[in-house]
Amino acid sequence: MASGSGAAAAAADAEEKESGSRMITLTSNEGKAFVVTEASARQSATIRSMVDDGGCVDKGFPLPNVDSKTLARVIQYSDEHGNKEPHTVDERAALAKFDRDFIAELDADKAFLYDVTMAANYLHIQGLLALTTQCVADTIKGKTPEEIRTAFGIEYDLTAQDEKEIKEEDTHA
Amino acid sequence: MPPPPPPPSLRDLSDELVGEILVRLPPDDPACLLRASLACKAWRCILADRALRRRLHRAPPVVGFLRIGMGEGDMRYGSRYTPNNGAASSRRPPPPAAATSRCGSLGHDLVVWDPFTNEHRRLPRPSPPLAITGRGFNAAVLCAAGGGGGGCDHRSCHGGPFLVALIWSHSPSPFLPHLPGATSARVYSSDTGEWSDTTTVEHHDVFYYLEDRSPLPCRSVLVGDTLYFTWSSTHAFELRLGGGQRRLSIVYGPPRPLPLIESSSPIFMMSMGDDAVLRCVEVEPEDEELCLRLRLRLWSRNVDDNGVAQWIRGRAIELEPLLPDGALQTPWIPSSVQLLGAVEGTDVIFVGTHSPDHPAAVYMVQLNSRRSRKVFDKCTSVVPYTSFCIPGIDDASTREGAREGASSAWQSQVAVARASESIKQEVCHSGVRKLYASLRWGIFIHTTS
Repeated sequence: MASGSGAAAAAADAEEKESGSRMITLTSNEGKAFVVTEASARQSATIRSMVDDGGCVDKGFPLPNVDSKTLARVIQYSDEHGNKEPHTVDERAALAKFDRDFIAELDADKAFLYDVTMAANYLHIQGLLALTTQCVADTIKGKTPEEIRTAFGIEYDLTAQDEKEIKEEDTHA
Repeated sequence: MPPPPPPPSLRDLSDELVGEILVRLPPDDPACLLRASLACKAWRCILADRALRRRLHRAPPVVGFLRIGMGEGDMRYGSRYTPNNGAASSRRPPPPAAATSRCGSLGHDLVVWDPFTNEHRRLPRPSPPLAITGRGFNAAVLCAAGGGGGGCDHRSCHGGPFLVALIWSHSPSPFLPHLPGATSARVYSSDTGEWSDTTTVEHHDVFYYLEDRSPLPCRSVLVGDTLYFTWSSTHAFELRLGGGQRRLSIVYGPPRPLPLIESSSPIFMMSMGDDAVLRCVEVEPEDEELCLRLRLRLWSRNVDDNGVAQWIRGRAIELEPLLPDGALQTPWIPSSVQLLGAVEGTDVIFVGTHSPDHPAAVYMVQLNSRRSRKVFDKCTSVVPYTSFCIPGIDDASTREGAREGASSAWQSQVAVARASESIKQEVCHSGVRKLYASLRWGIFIHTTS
């Protein structure tokens, strides 16, 4: 009995090791294939659940909602976070610096930032989603409603009555 | 030249994703949230969504402070509420009631006041009238939803029931502290509109703090279903609210550095997180003789299965790196650094400094992250006011029916203060207690003569 369960554990270990080194193919909506390590792909909760549910790893995963340019950038993030687990203070600092540089570059191209945000949401990559949404939120901070509308291309659709009501209520803020 | 391209629009993002963005706005700045809600209808609806608001406020943010007058300039004769965002003007507590009792008799009006909305509510006077010695009283407002023992998360208790715990000391004479005295407590319930029976504990030696020696208000803290009132440099009172029987008893603080006991600075109690453990923070010198390097020392009060309590010495936090150079006076004298307030259930405390070489100030210090920022230029006692509410958004969305029920959720701290018998509204005393949606009230004790 004991040896039986030991053998099972060893088999599970072997499978674990094997799965850690597997490569996974992700295909963009333009049909371009990206081969990534499983550790990198597992940054995405969407892909992780498909793999764990016995999805067909060999055939790869088509991602009809993500274009090649966006997918390449998302993989850059996932590789950094999935393939290297930071252990030391220096490694953690290096990862934090990677995040800062990564988001600073994205922030310069808002349309691309939104694309990456949507991809992070679709793929359920929590770390990346937190990074991009915080970046957008920081842009909102300190802006007037008019500045917010200008910065984000939002149409003004509040009626004068709406505004009056809100401002009347705002006697305490 | 062609016109610049229009900015990329957030319209492509789903409401869910815009919510993910808006949830990352600073929760302690209602003005920022209000501005965002004025951008368009969609954002306004998203920000009014209750599920999002629960995420936005993991802990109730500090939206303002009640500062207790301590004799400096404009603060001399009263307390003042100041919003955290600095965007709006401050406001004063309501004035004392007109004199209603006959000359020579002593009456106490208890008014629960919400500094955020300026609403106030007068409570019925306890009967028989209270016999209070000196400044020896304090009160606290508690949410009574969820049983009143901390069983409510204060996100939807707006308009709900509340309790007011009142505690007062009486002795044969304030000038004869060696004579046995007693301290009593009663609890008012907004549900019944009545005061509970009196619970009393007798004692000999807890009057250090009551003799007007300290300008600081005493403080209260709720831990589980027990309320603790700071009373002296060595003692506190414990009022158990849970169960059928409310009982008052004395608890002793942790062993303190002698200068702190001699200075009569009250025990600084606080709660952190939901672990139902009473904690204390002290300022202590690393070297007791030279009093040079200062640090904050954390203590926690553990109670074993037999009910025996013991103070456990916890970690120390160096104070100097938290404050600007020169803000601490060295060698240390206790009055130069004061612990002035805490945000209940969090690691946030307020530290005041009074160094001759540096402008006096109040700093808000986060003990865990060891971050601090200056919140005031004067060293006055601070009652942080925390709230889940965003005025304007909550009210508007409630009217539109976008949310279930009228439940803008609030949580706040209550000031307990007393206006002096003169007409100057001098606020002598303050305590801190939670005050919620329902209890968006501070409490005042007005003495009229």
